[in-house]
Amino acid sequence: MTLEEQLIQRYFDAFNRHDIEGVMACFHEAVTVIGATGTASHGHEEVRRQCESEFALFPDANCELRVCTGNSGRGVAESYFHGTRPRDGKVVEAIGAEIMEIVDGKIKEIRDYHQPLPAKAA
Amino acid sequence: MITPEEQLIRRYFQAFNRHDIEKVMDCFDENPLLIGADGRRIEGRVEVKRCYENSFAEFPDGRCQLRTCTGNSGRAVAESRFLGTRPRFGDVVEAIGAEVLEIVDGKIKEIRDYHERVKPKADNTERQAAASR
Repeated sequence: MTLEEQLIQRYFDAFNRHDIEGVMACFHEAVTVIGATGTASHGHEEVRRQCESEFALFPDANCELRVCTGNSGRGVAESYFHGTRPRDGKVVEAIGAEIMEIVDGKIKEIRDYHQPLPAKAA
Repeated sequence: MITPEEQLIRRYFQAFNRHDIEKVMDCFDENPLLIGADGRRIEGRVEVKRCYENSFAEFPDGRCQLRTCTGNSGRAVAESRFLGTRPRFGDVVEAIGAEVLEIVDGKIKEIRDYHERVKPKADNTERQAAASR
């Protein structure tokens, strides 16, 4: 397992525990997260807020890591996201891949290409 | 150092961008599978070849710019931007995303494609540049 793959695994483990400190420990100080639509969050504060919002919106949110590969400062995580919104009982599922740029053992950038699957009722 | 998986991806993209169907197919396993994000499956060399031929016919200037290419141990990812003009409609189609590839014996066994269409922002200069490549 490469260092990049170990970092991705650690990041997913922390995400699935909803361990915000564990998640943030995986990120570089100058992190950027870019969605498929081009929206971007920059820096620890914005990215932390985004993660906290996601955990609050989907208390059972889980991201199943399906493929994890990387080397030389780049990595990819292919995953399946599943979460229920208690507010309306809607189940949200998405599959896709995240491309990661890794600097000094931390995630410096994520380009997220997840796409939602058709909605299901809980 | 470039891995064998990364070399294969580069060869695949180069063949795709030359619209060289034989070289594209040379990158694939005997029983390849393409899976779209919507779950659509294209299986076997005949179907995969037809899929690429249709794409080349629909987008005569279709080109995929490889942005990131990484992989090892039989798995890899290619992040890219597709840009092509459909003469039939006169519109430009642009998509960005990533493909996750499973590689067996130096050939692509499976591609799971997560490209998503984006609103074209190509101006005339970009279109001319794309067309001249």
